[in-house]
Amino acid sequence: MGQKNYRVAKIYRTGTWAWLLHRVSGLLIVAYLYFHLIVLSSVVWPGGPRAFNRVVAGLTSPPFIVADWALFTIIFFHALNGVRLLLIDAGWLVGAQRTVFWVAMAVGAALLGASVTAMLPLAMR
Amino acid sequence: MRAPGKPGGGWSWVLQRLSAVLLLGLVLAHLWIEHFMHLGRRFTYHGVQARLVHGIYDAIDYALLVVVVYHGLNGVFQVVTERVHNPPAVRFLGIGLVVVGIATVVLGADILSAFLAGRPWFLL
Repeated sequence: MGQKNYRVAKIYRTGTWAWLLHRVSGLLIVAYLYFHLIVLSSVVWPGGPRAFNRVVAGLTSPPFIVADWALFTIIFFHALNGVRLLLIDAGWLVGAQRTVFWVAMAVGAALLGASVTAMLPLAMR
Repeated sequence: MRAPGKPGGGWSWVLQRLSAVLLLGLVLAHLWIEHFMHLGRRFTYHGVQARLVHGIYDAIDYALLVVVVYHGLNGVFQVVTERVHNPPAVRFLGIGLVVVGIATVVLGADILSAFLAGRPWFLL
C-alpha cells in the first residue's frame, strides 16, 4: 500500500469506528432519555414532592454518581463527534478529519475530567 | 444517515443537523442549571421548583424536551432505515415514532407542569 493510500485507509478506519460509535452512543442516549423521564415521572405517579425526593435520593447515591460519569462519557462523545460530522457536512477540514476527531476527543476528555473533579466529593460520601 | 438526495431525506437531513446544533447549547445549559449550579446541595422537588421559577430555565427545558425527542427518534429512524428498506415497514416505523414522540413530549410537559403548577396538567 502506498503512503497516500495508507493515509486514506487510516482516515476511513477512524471514520468507520466513529460512525459505529456515534450510532451506538445515540441509541444509548435515547434509552437514557426514557430512563430519565421515568425517574422524573415519580412526580406525576405516585406523585408529589415526597415520592420524587425518595426516588431522587436513591439516584444521587455514590454508585449512581459513577454511572453519571459513564453517561457524560457517552454524551460528550456523541456531541463532539457530532460537531466533527457537522464540519464534514459543511465541507470544512474534510482532509483532516482524523485530526479533528482526536481534537474533539481531547475536548471531551477535558470536559469529562472537569465533571469528574467537580462531582468527586459526591462519589466519596 | 439518509442523504439529502434520497426521497424524503432532505428535510430530515437538515432538521437532524439543525437540532444537533440546538442540542449542543440546550444540553449544556440543562446540565449546568439543573445539575452543576447547585452541586453538593440535596436534589429535591422544591429545589427544582425554585429553579423553574425563572422563565428562561422553563424555556430551556421545554425546548430541550422537544428538540431532544425529535433528534433522538429521527436518529432511531435513520439507523433502522439503513437496514430496513421495505416501504410499508418504513411507513409503519415512521408513524410509530411520530406517535411515540408526541406521547413523550406530552409526558415530559406533564412532568414539568407538576413542578411549575404544583400538579400535572394532563395525566393523573
